[in-house]
This record gives sequence, structure tokens and C-alpha cells, in this order.
Amino acid sequence: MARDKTSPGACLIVVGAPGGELVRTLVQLAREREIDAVPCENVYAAVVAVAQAAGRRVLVVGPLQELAVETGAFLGISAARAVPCCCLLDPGRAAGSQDLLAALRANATIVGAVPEVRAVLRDWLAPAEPPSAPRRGRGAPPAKRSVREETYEDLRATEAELSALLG
Amino acid sequence: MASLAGAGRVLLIGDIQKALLDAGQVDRYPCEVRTNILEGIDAAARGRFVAVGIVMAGATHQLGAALQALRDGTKARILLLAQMHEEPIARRFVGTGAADKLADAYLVCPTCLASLCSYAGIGPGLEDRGQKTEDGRPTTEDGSALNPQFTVRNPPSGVFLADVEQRIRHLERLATTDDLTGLKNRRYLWEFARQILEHAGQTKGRVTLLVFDIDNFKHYNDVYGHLTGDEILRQAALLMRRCCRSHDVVGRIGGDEFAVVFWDDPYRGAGDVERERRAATAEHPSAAILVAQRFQKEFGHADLHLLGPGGEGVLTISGGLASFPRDGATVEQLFERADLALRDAKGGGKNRIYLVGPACTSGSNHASPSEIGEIHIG
Repeated sequence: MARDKTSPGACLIVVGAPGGELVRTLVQLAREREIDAVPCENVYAAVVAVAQAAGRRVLVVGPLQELAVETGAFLGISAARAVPCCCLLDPGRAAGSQDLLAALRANATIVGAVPEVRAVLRDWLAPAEPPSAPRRGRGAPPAKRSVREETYEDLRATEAELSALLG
Repeated sequence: MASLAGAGRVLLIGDIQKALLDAGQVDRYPCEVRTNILEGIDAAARGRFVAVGIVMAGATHQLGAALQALRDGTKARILLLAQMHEEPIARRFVGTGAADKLADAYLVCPTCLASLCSYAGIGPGLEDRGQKTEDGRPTTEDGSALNPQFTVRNPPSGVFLADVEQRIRHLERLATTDDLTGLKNRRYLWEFARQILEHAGQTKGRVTLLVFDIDNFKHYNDVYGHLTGDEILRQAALLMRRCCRSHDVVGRIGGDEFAVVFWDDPYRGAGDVERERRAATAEHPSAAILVAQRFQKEFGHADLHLLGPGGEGVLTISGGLASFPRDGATVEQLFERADLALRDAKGGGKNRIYLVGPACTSGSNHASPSEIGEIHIG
């Protein structure tokens, strides 16, 4: 397969237990897309991987509980570096409100299952549109929002609700 | 020259107030501080620091992972800033084998910025790299002015660092060690106990203090002479050290009186600690009792040639055990209670160790201070 032309130098950082479903699936996906995958056992290794990937397009994927440790510092660092994060919820465990808030504040995407990451990866690899692209013609339908954008909107609303609930 | 973040500087990670006596003076030194460990690792990986100092306090569970990340992310020298009770753990991380050497050195806290900078290879202007500001002050590699009293050695001399480390270690040893037995001295033991009790109070940890002395020691001193007396003390110290776990702290309080601080090692796997806590909360201080009994037995069988042909098995000890939080919340209270139990053991006929409160029965959390349970008669 030819290298994905839309993602020169892209780097997928996967945080999770080595050999776990998340890491195995995403490393395989990255291989299919011919992008670099960097598995990291924890956020401490991930923060180094993000630093070492400076200047490249980076996406971080990992369980919410792991990415939000240290009061969400990793998510904060990623947001400050404009590195998107995708947090995977553990279906067998209730997510902490503080973890969720940290993810929302960092504009991270939250998904509920490993297969959902595929869509996030696809959006991330899609060529970015210019920020103020002119509409193509009168009457043309508004550009359809991507799954990622939809999710952000949903999550922003949720953050407001959560903030109201938590005071 | 390209500007490099952190070049020629020391990065400090964690709550430096817990580690440095002069933390408020940090601006006067070529140091940067990150209180959050992840932000610290990020800064270390992006900058070019001479050294990274990491405050161990508060970084208990994630320390191994954090150090591994620092090791992978920076070429800087990694220094651990350890509280007294963290020293055994720091020693483990510094290690000797290349594979598990996650840190290069450790300093026992509280320490000061000058010592830290010496370890990092930054010291009072000995070697000038020739870079100066317009007004003639030395600069770091990124061109910012450095406090005139500091100069970065470039590259840090391994020989110099080894020498500084050796001297600091030597002074530390002098200040904290009993020169006759090689055990920790009273000053160290007291401070260690204070710190570990504070730590245990925060983490619901368990601490037990054993105070013991050698029965009839004055008699041996008078009959066989002081050299023999010294040898008995050395033997007792050696045996006690052998009987204890590696993280327990054994010290000589003075004369023939010794003390041991038994505590939970917080750096073991969380599962181990929890399992042990569930199984033994009611029986605490079971581990300390086992060690005390083993020591009493070994000491009773020690063959001391200096005491002549009948020197085997004549020496006995008496001791008192007190546990935190049951028997006291402060060092003073624990020492007082353990000492009281020791005196009762002496009064009860010597060659025995008394435990404050009823002896290790489940549900015995409300011990009356007057109750003394005998745990062993040699």
C-alpha cells in the first residue's frame, strides 16, 4: 500500500497496556495506514513521545483513566501543544467526573469502544480544510460536520451541564 | 547559537518546599521548577538541562514510571531528592546494575540548592566557558544571565562529581551514623521516626518502635573491660541489622540502648500492601515481633570469644514495643511508651520483650496504657 499522502510524518501515540486490545488494534490500524505508531505503557512515557514527535502531526489515544491521571496534566499539556487526544471510556467502570472534565477542557474526543477510534483516526488523517474556506456557491448545502466536530459540540454542552451539576 | 530551553540549568520537579531548606531562594540559582510531574517530564524532554532533580515525596506510586520516562526522554543527570524514609527506595533506583539504574544519584532531604547544584555539575565559578552578557556576567547557553556565583562546567567532570558526591556522603555519614556500631545514631533515628510518622499519618501506614538494651551490660563492661563491652555492642548491632528487613531502620540511642523503627514499605506493590493490611491490621506489629524474637534468639546463641569459654548464650536483651497509631501519635509518645515497656520488662526479670497493650489479639485496638502484654520469654 502506498503511504497515506494526507499524513506526512503523522504519528499515532497509543497509551495502554502492552498487548492489550487497544494497543494491538491501533498498531494494526496504523500499519494499514502506513503511519508511525508509538505504543506507550503510561502517560509518563507518552509525554516523552509527544515531546519527541514535535513538528509532526500527532494523535494520542488511550483510556480516559490513564490519560487523565495527575489531575489531567497530560491532557492539558497535549492541548497546549495542539496535540489531539482520544479518550476511551472503560465500559466496565464509571468514569470519574474530574477525568471527564479534564478531557472536555482539553477538547479531547471521547469514545466508548475501540472500534470507534477508527472514525477518529479517519478524521484525523483527512486533509485539514482551511479555517475560513469560502462556500462554493449559492445554495450549496453547508459543509457537513465531521464526526469529530459533532462530538466536540456534544461534549461542550456536556461540560456546561457537568459544571452546573458540580458547581 | 541556537537557543535551547533549559540549557545549562537544573530542572526541579515536584514540591521543592518538601525537599529544600532554601526553596524560597530558587530564583537565585540556575534552576527551573515544575510542580507537576508530567509537566516536569515534558520540560525535561524538550529542554537541555544539565540535571533533573525529582522530589520523591508525593510521587510514590508512579515514581518508577516517571523515572523511566525521564531516562528515555533526557540525557540529563537524574537526581532523586529523598526524605530519610525514602532513602532505601532511592538507593534501589540508583542501583548498581545498568538495567535498573533509573537515577544517577540521590540526596537525602532536606538539602540545599548549593548541594544540588554541585551534584548537577554547577558550582561556584571555577571554570568559565567564556560566554558573558554585555555587563560581563556569565551566561547559560541560551544567553540568559546566570547568577555570578555559579558557572556551568561544560561538560560536567565525572571525576569532580564523584569527588563532591563522596565528600557529601562522607559528611552525611558522620552526621547520622554511630561510629562504634555503624548503625544510625540517635539524631537520625529521631528525625526518621518523626518523618515516617508524619507519612504514616497521611497514608494510614503502620509504624512500630522497638527499644531494647543488653541485660547486665554494665557488669560485662566492669568485669571484661570496655573493649569487650564495645565488641558486645558491635555484635548486637550486626545481629539486629541481619534480623531486620532492608527498609527497617536500626539505631543506637546511646550506651547499650538500641531502637528499631519498623514500617510499611510504601513502594511495594499496592496489592501486597493491601493484602497484608487486610490480613494483619489486628495483629500489628506482628512483623516487628517476629524480628524481635528472631534477634533475641540469635543474640542468646551468639558466641562471644571475648567472654571466655563460657561466652556462648550468656547475653540476653530486654525490650519494649510500641505501635503507631495505637500507642502514640508522636515520636516522643512512642519512645516514652516503648521505654516504659522496656522498664517493665527489666522489672519483670529481664530477657524478655514487652509490648504496650494486649499482645496481638484481634480487635485489640483500644488498649489501656497500663496494660502490658508479654510476648516472649527467652
